[in-house]
Parts: sequence; C-alpha cells; structure tokens
Amino acid sequence: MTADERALVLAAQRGEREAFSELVRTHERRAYAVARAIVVNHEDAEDAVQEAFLHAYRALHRFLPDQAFGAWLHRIVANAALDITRRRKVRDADELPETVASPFRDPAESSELRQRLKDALDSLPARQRAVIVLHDVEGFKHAEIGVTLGIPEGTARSDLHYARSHLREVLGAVRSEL
Amino acid sequence: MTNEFRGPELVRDDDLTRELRAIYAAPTDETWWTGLEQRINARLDAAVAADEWWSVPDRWLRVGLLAAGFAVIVAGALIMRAQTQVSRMAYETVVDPASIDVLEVAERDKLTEAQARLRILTGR
Repeated sequence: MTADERALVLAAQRGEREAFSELVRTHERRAYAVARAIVVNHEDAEDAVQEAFLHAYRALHRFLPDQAFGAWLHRIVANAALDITRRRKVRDADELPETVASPFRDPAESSELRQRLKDALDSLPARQRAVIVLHDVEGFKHAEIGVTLGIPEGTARSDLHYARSHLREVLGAVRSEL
Repeated sequence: MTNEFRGPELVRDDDLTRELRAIYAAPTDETWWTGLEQRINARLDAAVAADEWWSVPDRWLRVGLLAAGFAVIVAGALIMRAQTQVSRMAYETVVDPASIDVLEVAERDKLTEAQARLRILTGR
C-alpha cells in the first residue's frame, strides 16, 4: 500500500467521506474486474461492486492499515459477487426455461465460437470461472487469486487447470465443426 | 499432506485468452465509470443517512425518558394535591359553620346551625 493510499484509508477511517470516495475512484476498475470474473453478466458485476464498496465502508474500522487495502477490498468484492451468483442460481432455478435461455447478446460477441465459449463459461462452477478469468484476463497470480477468493493457492491452480481444460475442449469442438 | 495441485498445468492458450478478454472486456466509456462512482457514492450517502436516522432515537430516548420521569413526578404531585383538596373540602363540609348545606338545611327546616349540622351528620 502506498503512503498516499494509507493516508486515504486512515482519513476514511476517521470518517472523511471524500477520502473514501477517492479510494472508490482508485479501486473501482479492479473491483469491477474481480466481480465480473465471478458473475455471469455486466449488470451483476456492477451490483457486486456497489455492494462491496458499501460493505467495505461499513467494515472500514476493522481494516488494519498494515494490510493491503486492494487485497482486502478484492476479498469483499469476491464475496459480494459470489453471493449474487448464489442468489441468481436460486432465482434462475425458479424461473421458466424461456427466461433463462434469453441472455443479452452483444453484437460484438455474436460469433458462434464466442457464444459457445460464453455458454461454456457460464456452465463452469463460479469459482473455476473466477480463477481462469482472474488469471488469464486480469493477470492475477495464483497466490493473489487464493487471497481474493479465500482458497489455498493449490486449489487456485487446480481450478485453473480444470477450467482451461474444459474450455479448450469446447474451443476444439467448435473449431472442428466450423 | 498438502492440498497443493500436482497435476500438469495447462499452458495458456492464446486463442482462448483472446476470446476471454473479448468476453470480459471492461466498459471503455469513461462516463460509465464516472456514473458508477456516483452511484456508489449515492448508495453510501443513503446508507450514512439511514445510519444517522437510526442513531437519533438513542439521543431522543434519553430526552424522552427524562420527560416521562418529569411527567410522572408532576402527575403524582397533582394527584396528591387533588386528594388533599378533596379531603379538606369534605372536612370543611362537615365542620365549616358557613357550609352551604348546613345553612340551606337550617333555613329550610327552621333549625339552628348546630341542629342542621347534626341532621346532616346523622343523615336524618
């Protein structure tokens, strides 16, 4: 944690709202990336980020300034995103299949391969999906993923292995069909 | 015994990584990020306001308790005063020579005040 960030955290802990807003400004993009790696769509990622910052604000008095603020925040974001994923799973299970099978499709993502990959990602367990996205897209190291998701580093490695293996199969199948 | 993964780690697949990056690309529109920041701050403001609203009763609770205690004391004093007044009036009704009842009875029945008072006391 930089000296500036430490000063911001201390000021926020004293109740200075502007200091916390500055922390939001600094960390919102990374927080979004963590949330997006776990949930299945952009809207849920935004919800998770908002929930997480609210939770972080309320829990700020428990944060020790010797810790890394980013890692602490990412853990909160990941938990918020996992909560949303669990709630969505329950909600989707209660909904009619027609509503489930009508995901928003971005024109840029309309290729067959990308759509199949997206479906395969959605079918992965949330943790495996989070691990591969955080590692391959966001560049997190195994240890950082472990801290963020609250899992051992070895579990992050194995999740990455299984997620890659599954997605490669899908990718291979689509390539052979096209 | 360790839970470290010992299997072969698959190397990064460039095609897969490229597709993943396309799928998980963060919004590039700066106004969206500014908007997100504003939405987060609005939620924080609302939460802080709600917390403050809930903390108000703590302060008002003490004031309310003091007011209620004061009201009980005042009510007690008023009740005691009223009871004393009732007792005094009852006593005066009996012993006061100028009691209206005594005078009325005396005049109506052509009695002396002492006789009238006796009649009121005996109820005859």
